Amino acid sequence: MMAKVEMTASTALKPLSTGLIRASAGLNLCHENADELYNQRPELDFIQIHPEHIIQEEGGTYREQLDALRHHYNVILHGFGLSIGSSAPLDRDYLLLVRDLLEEHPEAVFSDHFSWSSLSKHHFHDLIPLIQNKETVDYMVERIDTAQEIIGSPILLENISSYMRYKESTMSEFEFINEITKKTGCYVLLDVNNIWCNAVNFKEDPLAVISTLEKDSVKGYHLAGCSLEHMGNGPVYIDYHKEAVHEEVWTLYKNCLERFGPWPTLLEWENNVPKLERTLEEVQKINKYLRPYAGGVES
Amino acid sequence: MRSPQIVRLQQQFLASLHDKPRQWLIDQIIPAPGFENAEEILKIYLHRAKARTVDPLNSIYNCLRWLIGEAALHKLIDKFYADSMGEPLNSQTMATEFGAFIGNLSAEEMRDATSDMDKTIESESDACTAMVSAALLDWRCHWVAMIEHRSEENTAVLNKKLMHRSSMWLRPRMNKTTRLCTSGIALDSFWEKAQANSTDKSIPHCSDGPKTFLIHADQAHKPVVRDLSNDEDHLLNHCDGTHTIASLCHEAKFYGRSKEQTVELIRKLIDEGVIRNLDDLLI
Repeated sequence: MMAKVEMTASTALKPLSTGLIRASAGLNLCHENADELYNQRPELDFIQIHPEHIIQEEGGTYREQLDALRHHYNVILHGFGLSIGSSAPLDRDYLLLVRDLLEEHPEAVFSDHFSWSSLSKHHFHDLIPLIQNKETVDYMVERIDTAQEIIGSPILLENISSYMRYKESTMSEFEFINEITKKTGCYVLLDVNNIWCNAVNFKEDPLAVISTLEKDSVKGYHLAGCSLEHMGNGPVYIDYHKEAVHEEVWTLYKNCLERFGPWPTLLEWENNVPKLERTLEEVQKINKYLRPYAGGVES
Repeated sequence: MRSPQIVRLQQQFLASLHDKPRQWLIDQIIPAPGFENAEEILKIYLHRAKARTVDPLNSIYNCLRWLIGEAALHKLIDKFYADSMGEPLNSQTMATEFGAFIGNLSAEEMRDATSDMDKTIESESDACTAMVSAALLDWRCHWVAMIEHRSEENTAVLNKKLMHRSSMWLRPRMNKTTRLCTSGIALDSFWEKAQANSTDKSIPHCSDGPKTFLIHADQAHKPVVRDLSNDEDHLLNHCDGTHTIASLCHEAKFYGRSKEQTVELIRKLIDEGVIRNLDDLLI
């Protein structure tokens, strides 16, 4: 039986609760690894599933595997289609699906991104950055409050990788995020690779960047591999999730664990997915980093 | 509360991806130093948006690609994306919309799309008809492969039910996505040629006039396109959960088939995965 961890939100919503121990490691479920995961059922603390796949895949093999696996493992729910920063109305049906899934999986939390990815019925399938200023903060606060009310619990939002900034932004990424978490009671799903990737692309110090994020706001980590591409004016790291986690990102993860404490950590590998045993090696590496915290931090 | 700034940014972004980059947006963007300009970043977003919306159409519309060629299919997909009123998350819905888009092309657009087809083999009107048939065939084959077998009774259970003493009152039903399709084009050969990427691009026609074809998913979820014998045609036309086996046997007698032959045909169609249910109630 896993220890129950409860985290209280500043809103009047029911507390964010998860049946996962804080020092736990998991793997994302995707079309590319579903067969192997389904057949092998390796030991994992949790898997991450996308509610969008339940909408997209009404039948067929993948859906059957997804349903079997989500009942075999502990799960966390991670969306890419909420588009919380979009100017179009929130998709109420989607949020109700998330609410139902959370009821079905009491161990789960739901996360999405500090971004927008669709406009009305147009889906860009990418996480597009927002103008970081007070006007957007106010807009996001209203939207997040609505989403949390429908779902019935606080949500986690992930910092994104971005290759551009806007001239009208008046805040740094984490100043923007701090304002939003303070006003909504939502939490941060910290993608360590995205911090590193953005910092390197914009020639900043990733350690200085993480020092600006509120310590209490982080409730989960993502790790993934970005890829070095040569663009018109030089090298750029693009967040393709198609290779192993970079050593510099592991080091930054260690720094994050020291600053924000251990939280469920997910390995994402969604493109050029290797054999399952290779991705499991990366999950084991997460466990190695979490080992000093195992059993010591439970609430 | 609406944010005018967010509305403008997002509308400009949408227009830039579906048409050409808007100057207002370009002026807003500060690219990371490795990029030459804002347009280079917008290309990444456009590439990813298409990769997860319209690009899957490339793997769904195989028969159409074989018929009109890679370049013509890409051109159609690009136009579909540019004119799109929205991209559904569900690939089936997307494929349905693309199928409807093909069916609604103007005569001039049809001519343009089929311009690479060998007109010495096909007349222009035949080429356009074949193009629509190919698109509908692709769409239907994709559809049947997505069915939920798990909600249906498995073959062993169905065969057991067929052995029951009161099986005469059961009502055979095909999968909801299975279709009987009447066409003057020999859809089975058409599908086979496209799957084999045959260099012979002539359109196979039914020599004795239009025939009925069956499009369904086999036991392994793979799409199957095949023609039907007259007996199968008569039987399957009534396998919609309304006719009992007794009624089907009675009808078959008019075509000279015995009760045993009809039951055997039902068994064969169960084994093939065509009949997926034997209902005992009229719903």
